[in-house]
Amino acid sequence: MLNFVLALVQAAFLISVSPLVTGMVKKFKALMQHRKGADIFQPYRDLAKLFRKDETISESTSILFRIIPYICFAAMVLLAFMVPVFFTDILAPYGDLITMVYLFTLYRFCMVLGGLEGGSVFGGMGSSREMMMSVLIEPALLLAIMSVCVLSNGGTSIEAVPALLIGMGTAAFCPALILAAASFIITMVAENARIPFDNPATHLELTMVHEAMLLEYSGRGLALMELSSQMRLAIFMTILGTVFIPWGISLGTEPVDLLVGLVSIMLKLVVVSFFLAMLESAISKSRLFKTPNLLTASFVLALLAIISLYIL
Amino acid sequence: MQVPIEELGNTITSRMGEGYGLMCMYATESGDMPRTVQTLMRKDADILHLETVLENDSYPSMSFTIPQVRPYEREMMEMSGLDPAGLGDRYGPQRLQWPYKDAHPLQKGELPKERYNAPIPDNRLSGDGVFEIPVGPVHAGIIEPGHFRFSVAGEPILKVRTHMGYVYRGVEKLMEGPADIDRTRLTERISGDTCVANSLAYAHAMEGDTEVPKRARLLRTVFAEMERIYCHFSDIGGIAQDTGFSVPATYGAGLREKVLRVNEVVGGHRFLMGTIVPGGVRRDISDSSIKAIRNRILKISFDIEELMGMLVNSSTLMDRVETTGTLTNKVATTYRALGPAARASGVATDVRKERPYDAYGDIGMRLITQPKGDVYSRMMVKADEIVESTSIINQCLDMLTEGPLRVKVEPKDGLGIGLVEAPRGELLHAANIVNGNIWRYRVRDPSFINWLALERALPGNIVADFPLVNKSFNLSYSGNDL
Repeated sequence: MLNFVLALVQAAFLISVSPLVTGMVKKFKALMQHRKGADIFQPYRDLAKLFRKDETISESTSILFRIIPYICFAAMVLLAFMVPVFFTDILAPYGDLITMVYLFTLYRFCMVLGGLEGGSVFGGMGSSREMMMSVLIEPALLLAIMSVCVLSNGGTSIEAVPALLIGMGTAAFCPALILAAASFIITMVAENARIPFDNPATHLELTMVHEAMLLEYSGRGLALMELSSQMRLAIFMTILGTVFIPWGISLGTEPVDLLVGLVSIMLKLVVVSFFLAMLESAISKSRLFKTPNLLTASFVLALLAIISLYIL
Repeated sequence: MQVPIEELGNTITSRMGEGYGLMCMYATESGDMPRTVQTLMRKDADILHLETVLENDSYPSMSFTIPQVRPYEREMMEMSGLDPAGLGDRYGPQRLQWPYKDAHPLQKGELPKERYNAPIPDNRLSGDGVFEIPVGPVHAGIIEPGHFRFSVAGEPILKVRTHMGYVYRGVEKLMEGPADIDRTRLTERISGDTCVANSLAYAHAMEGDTEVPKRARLLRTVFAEMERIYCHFSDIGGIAQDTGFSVPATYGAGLREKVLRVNEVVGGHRFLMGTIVPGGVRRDISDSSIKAIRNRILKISFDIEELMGMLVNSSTLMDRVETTGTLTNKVATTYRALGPAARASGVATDVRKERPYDAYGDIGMRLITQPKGDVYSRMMVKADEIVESTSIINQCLDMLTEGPLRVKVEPKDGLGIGLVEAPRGELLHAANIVNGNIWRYRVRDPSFINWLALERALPGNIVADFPLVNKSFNLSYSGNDL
């Protein structure tokens, strides 16, 4: 029972901090540009504003357009249930890493459909670009998470990985983990539409990928889509912080361990946000047709991680 | 020089062979003067004025033999109601999206209330997998309105047409009337960031050969170069912005802001409105202002180095800007592209050098060119011009002596020409003054021509790179629409 409550709390924690994570990345970026930047709680206010607003929906859309935000949001909530945050027991242990990767894919697929539904040129353009990238993101993501699972002998269940990795002691620091983490970081940047793959702050319709698909949404639909994409970023960061670098996570239900787990995941989120902001400030968006090269590199890194497990 | 309409095409062609470039063509209304087509050509400092009296409004189009004539013919058709037979609707409107029924905007007397929405001509390409993307006139960012039609095959652009005219305000019509009224307040507002250049061109058009005091000429040069500096900073920052390179983008915007603040101290206005009047400058600058300019200029030469260092040392940015949006030297020459865009394609054209005005004749300056014509070249031309501008300002401030600021100007009948190098290129103001009245006032912003150059620089690039290429040209919509 206690485990169940704790798992519920950690899922709720992950969902509720996700706008804060986005706010943090934005704040760090602003500071790096010598700007003051908006408050880190601004994303909450934006969401509250959007939830209160009316929706305007294009006449060319079908019912699909209306339900897509809910599907996307549901996929992300389910993912939040499946990820260990500060405690290794999770709410939805019936899912494994393949379910996880395909929940991300379901989200992306629905978003692409939503982009096409609006009937505008930009949505279609964004959708086609997203599909081009997603073809390469998906296998890289799968391979990266899988190599950690193989490394820890945890089978395909994600919640077993942290405990097993910690149990391995220093043996966990092998090339496979580092390569897989590197691959996962590239995938994280690509999947969350950050620079150099896409520019989340752009106002230029013609260069957009992720934003172009959201152009037709408004009001509650937009709020749900925004919240889902903020959750996606937070979930990716959490996976990086608990599956690839699990040290600090609580293995039992001792209050002290739980506290350490909570503080460590918060620190990890801040550090990863800072790293992401630094990456986004240091480089410019790459040419659209050069993004597959980087994604291929991510795939190759993950592949090397798996191979190194067997030959090293 | 009077040229009959049948001879006009041949005359233009043969003069082009001698090295003259077509600066402008425009039509005048009949009334105080006969209905004419005025053609202005220039070879270095030598301006050739061809006047063609028209018997009726129709004449055979020259666009097919002389590509440079095309935008002007279209403009004469829309604004003055001429009918270049054979031109048709092929290229789309240059300016007006809302034409009058049986009337044209520049005609004398009352204009009818009724207007209609001109359909955008169907210029799309067709074929397997080729489709058309309409973009604008309302854009997601805070920029001027313009409508673009891209014919694309997947991502690569096959053809682009720009459709302008959404910020038409009737400036040329408003300029008409008694010539001795000071209209700088209107000319300054033709195009937001070209205040000084536009008022300077207007002043020159009104002054004719009136001798402007030396101090005024030097101050005008200083103001014009300050404008160039902040425009170029904003452009370079904008290029970084459009590639998502946020740190240099903010840095560029910050540097522009610093120049604007000096402008406010020096001229009383961030964009230096109200500084230039026909006959001189409106107000003097104090010694403390001179010091403020000198301090800023000194810092700029370090700042620009730092900014360009950030950009050029970034492999990801260089990958974006090199070979993107190439305007070849041949196309730049054929369409007579102007300003930094042309200089980046290896065309050595600069009014400051070729036909010096104000203090430009007394100072030394380099003419900066780049050979390749891509976004990178345009960025580098602008960066080097900032450095050059700081040197020009320093030279002017060194030469500054006490003296009168303004003389009285009495515009004379005939054709008044104001030709200056605006930040975007050669800016022409031409005034036909008859009996002390401005009968026809023509403003030819460099963007009017460079929009066509942009159309030619895009095919072969991908749609996602359009904003970047567009930013590197950074053309004025309101300067084109007037």
